[in-house]
Amino acid sequence: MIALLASLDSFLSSRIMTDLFYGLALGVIYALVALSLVIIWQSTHVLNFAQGAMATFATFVGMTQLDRGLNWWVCFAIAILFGFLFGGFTERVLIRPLYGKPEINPIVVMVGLLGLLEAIGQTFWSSSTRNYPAPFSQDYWQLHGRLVALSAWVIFEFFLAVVIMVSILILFQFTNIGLRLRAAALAPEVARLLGVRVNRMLTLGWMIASAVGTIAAIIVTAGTGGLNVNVMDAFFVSGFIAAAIGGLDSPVGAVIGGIVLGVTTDFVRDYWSGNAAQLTPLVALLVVLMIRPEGLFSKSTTRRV
Amino acid sequence: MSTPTSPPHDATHVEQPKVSSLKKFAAGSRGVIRAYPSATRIVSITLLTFLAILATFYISDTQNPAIGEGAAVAVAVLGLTWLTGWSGQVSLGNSGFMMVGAYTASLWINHHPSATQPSSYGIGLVLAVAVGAVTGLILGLPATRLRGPYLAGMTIAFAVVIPSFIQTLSFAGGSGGLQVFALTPPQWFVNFFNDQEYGYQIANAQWPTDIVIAIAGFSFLIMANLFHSKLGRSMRMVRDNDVAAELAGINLPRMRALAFVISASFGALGGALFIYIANTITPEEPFQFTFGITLLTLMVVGGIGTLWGAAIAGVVFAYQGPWIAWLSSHVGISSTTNLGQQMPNILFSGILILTMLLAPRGIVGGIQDLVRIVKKLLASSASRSETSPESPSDNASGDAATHSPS
Repeated sequence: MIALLASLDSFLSSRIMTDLFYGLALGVIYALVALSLVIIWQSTHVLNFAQGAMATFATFVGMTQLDRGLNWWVCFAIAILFGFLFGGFTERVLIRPLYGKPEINPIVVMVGLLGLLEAIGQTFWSSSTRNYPAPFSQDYWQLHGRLVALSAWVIFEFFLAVVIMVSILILFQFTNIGLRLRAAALAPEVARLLGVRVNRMLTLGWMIASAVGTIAAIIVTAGTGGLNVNVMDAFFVSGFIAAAIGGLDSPVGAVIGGIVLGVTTDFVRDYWSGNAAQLTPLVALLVVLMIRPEGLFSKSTTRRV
Repeated sequence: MSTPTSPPHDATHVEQPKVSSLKKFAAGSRGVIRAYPSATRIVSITLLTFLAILATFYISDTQNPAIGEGAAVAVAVLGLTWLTGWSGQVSLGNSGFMMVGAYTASLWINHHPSATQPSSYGIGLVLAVAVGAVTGLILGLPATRLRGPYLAGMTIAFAVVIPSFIQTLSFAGGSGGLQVFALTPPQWFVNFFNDQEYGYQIANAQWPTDIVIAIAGFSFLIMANLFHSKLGRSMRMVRDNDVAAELAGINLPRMRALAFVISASFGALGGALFIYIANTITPEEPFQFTFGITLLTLMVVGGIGTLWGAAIAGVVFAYQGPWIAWLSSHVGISSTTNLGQQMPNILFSGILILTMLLAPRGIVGGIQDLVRIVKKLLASSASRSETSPESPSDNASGDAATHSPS
């Protein structure tokens, strides 16, 4: 028994498992960002370039309330609520006028929103990085003197991610609202004919996505991560790459793409070099898109050209 | 986006029986313009470039470098406008091309000191264009299979990854970046322009700006010819209707990749020219990925797919500092506060969103609409000798310079 425990120690603290845990911790963030992009893409066929900036903005709004002495979980709820409402506001004000316009128009508007939010964020909260506490310890566990790349916070992160993914799955697949959401996205005309308030459903899709993105931003920035106006830029790019690898219209693909991308990147970093890890996501994207331009898990047919 | 290049209203003017001599001249010059379109392009762009260089003699030495940077940015916007306006591919990664070009030129100049070899600046530019073209090809190959948001997302990934990749290259100076000495022309060149007899000479601070404007003018000329080449027409066909283009025997993947190569070359040239004025490049300044957003803003505000749009973009970039400072001081915002420092970004992004929502064709599109309305009014009110001769002839030369593709 003791021998088994000792071998478990050395197994969990081995190089492979350490990389796997690091990679998973990164991968679930990518997966959440990818998921929020996919939800928006599914409902309105807009790629939300401002996703990261919107999430960071909401995180700032919620987590600066800690300075007023509010409970961590209350601030957490404020941030998510703000993200939720902000998503709906964005869809109503900026995206709705652009339905049916050339596809460059929503791209440009969302890129504009990205710049605007980062600039306004720096006006309010300056460009310096600020730290706020995490609700759980971020110290990695020691098992008999060996470091295991897990902490209470990482476990919480995994738990939160799984809860979100499962609840989104249930929401979309097994509830009445989910059915209406899918109908509004898939066949808006028919859905409208059958009494679905399509516009409301599109707004709701944006709200859910924005809330999921906000949770990803909080996971990134809590504790030692540090909250900074630009912090989500890189995560947005990786999240987009994960979503594109999985297929922009496949939530399952987004989650798998995110986790695989995170783990792969960390293995490349450890076994090859940091330089190679910088380029890994881009190379992965290029390779996958060369093979299957619509993504690995997409059910849609290839666009004929 | 596409209106016929030859204005249809001209025929009625030519056929009118009684015309004033001024009007006859206007009609005649229009005939010449139509008969020799490429000669007209060369003459008008050369003239405008010459005017721009002339203008730098009357602009203060403190503002002149910004004018040079504006000209360099105009070249990069030209590349973007070709990609987005003519081949219909949205890119947010052209700041990455600028960075590649700027680093290539800087590396060459650092290894071949300009003090002894003035030609290294020229070779640096050529290398920047070559490396930029290769980068464009690498990015353009997967781009042939991607559309709209996928493509835009891939280019933004490129723009984000390139700086952090360059930062890890030890020979590129890491996060400290590289320094380039101010662009100085060789002595014989200076002597050629500085006439000792009349005591006339060009200030040292002004040289780089004038040279950059001249090269930018040359780039505009190349792009104007590209717009009207077989390649340009095929490109527009690919943008408007890819199925029809393929039926006509156009190789779509090759066209899309080629669009990227050309766009990247212009981007790299713009980046290298920018660094010849700004003298410092790091992975964070000035071509961080938000610069790609600035490029996009400038292009959209100027007018997508037009030469005039790119030129306006350059002017806006050159004068953004003074204009924003003026605005800030009038609104009462101190430049030391967070808000004051973020004013440029807030204004740029806000203008980008508003332009796209309210006037997606930008300044050039707005002016074209205005000219059309004015013309319609003039034509309906009095089609006799009463119409002012200036406005049609003005417009004719304007059309000649751009052949207003949008």
